[in-house]
Amino acid sequence: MRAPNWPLFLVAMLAIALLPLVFRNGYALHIMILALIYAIFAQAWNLVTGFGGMKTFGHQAFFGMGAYASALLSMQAGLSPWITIWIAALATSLAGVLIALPVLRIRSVPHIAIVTLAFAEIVRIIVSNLRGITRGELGLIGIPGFDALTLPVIGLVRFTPAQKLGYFYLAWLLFAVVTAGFLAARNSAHGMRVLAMRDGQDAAESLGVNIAAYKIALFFISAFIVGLIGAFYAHYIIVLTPSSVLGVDIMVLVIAMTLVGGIGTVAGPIVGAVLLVVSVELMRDLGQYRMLVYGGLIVLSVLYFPNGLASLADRVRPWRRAPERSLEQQDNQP
Amino acid sequence: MTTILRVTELTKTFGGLVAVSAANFEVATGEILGLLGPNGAGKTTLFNTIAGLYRPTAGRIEFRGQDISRTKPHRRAALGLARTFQITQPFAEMTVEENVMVGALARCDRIATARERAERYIGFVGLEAKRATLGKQLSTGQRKRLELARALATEPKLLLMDEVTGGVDQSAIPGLVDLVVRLKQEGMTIVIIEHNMRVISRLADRLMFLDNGKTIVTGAPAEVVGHPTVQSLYLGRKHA
Repeated sequence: MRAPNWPLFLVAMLAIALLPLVFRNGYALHIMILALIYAIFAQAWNLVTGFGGMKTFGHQAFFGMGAYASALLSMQAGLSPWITIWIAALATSLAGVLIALPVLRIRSVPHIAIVTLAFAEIVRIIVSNLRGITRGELGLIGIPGFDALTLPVIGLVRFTPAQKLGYFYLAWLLFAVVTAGFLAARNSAHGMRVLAMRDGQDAAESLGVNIAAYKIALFFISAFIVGLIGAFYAHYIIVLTPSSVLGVDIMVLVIAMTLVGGIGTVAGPIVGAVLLVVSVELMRDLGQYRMLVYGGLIVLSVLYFPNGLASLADRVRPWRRAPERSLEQQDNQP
Repeated sequence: MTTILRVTELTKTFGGLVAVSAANFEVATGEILGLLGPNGAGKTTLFNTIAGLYRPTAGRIEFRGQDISRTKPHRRAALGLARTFQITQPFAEMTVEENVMVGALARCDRIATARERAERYIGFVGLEAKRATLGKQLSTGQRKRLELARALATEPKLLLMDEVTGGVDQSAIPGLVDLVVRLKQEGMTIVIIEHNMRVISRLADRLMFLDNGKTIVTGAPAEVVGHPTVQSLYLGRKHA
């Protein structure tokens, strides 16, 4: 069991916070904000799938529900996005519990995937067809941005499409809190019980792990985080369509990020999100061939680094885990 | 000695198949009860029903004076019921230390305390050198030891051990048997499934022989081993 490397975490967070000093233009900030959004999303999906062992395929529902709930609340009830993002996140987490209930009765991986995918498709179809409220694929426009804040020392912070710095630091703050939470939880008693559940439900239960409670808790927390970041996305992008926040392609992207980075690790989804968001932008000059190269990169990294790119850190530091002898060598041992 | 486990008219069916038929037995504190029987006799089903993996179709299971017939497996573990598995189930991506710590966390919430307790049981089963090895990298014999350490870390009042020597290299069997002997000396109450007649006769205070889900005979090892039906079914000898 490896204790969290808090000094490294603080240095990394400080380095990310200083990035706008290097990349000042709005486009670069936009890419960094997207990378942070996806890093949070992928971490939350990894909580249920990588740590909890439930192979879900419908987290885009939570993203879209958070986005639409917060946007509609702020537009129709006139509430500040600072309030609506939390209401939306809470509502989404309750939806997470609802979908967790049937999952409790299913252990088969394909069945969990299909149930959660079906749930997400139901949500997408409902949002698409509630045109009176959501305007369907015409898109929800005029979503308000976050209200300006006056902070001590820093002064007035605005959140507008032209002034993205506030959005960047808000996304950074959410990212830091979520990552710190996962780092602490991974090494806690709860974290160990969750990992045990992933590796063997019957064995974990026989050791006193309340499987049902942990599954519900994982869905609640994961849906809350994804709903919150979906809500943030709505007030950042300020235009929503069902396909932009509820499409299955979002889930595929998040799964690819997590697999490329390293499923079941804290660092993996972050590495994968940054790599895929940035690489797709760097390849813009390739035009229509961009997605071809992008897909090829994913296939190659999953083939050659099945434990994810984050595992490279262990490969270059072999002394961190003693080399193992083969099973044949061990068989004659007690 | 007080009765720690009382099984009354316990039946478990799967559709039309009666896996366990009206089983009745008691286990006294400090006793080792051995379950014997040919493949398909219902031994593991009986274990799984006592441990809570299966719900009984009929009958009653009392543990430490409480009816646990409908109690969830994790609650049974909290009451002091622990088990090992016929086909070992180590937490594959966790180290030996982490595996055993999960067991210890059944009794405490502090990681440091769980680690201390885990060390004790890792030492007991002789896996100190494998502390940092992943569960999936262990041999079958080592996995059996790991499961025993993990179950002991829950500080059980009753230990259910399913085929201690099953699938294990011959050279590793004496070490595993010695562990059970040490537990017996320390007064642990155990219900054990074991196919090896010599091993089970040495370890158990009483034996219970099952066939087709039915209890054929229960008694002292010599009495059960000498029973004509056991001789016929298990040892392949014709009735006298």
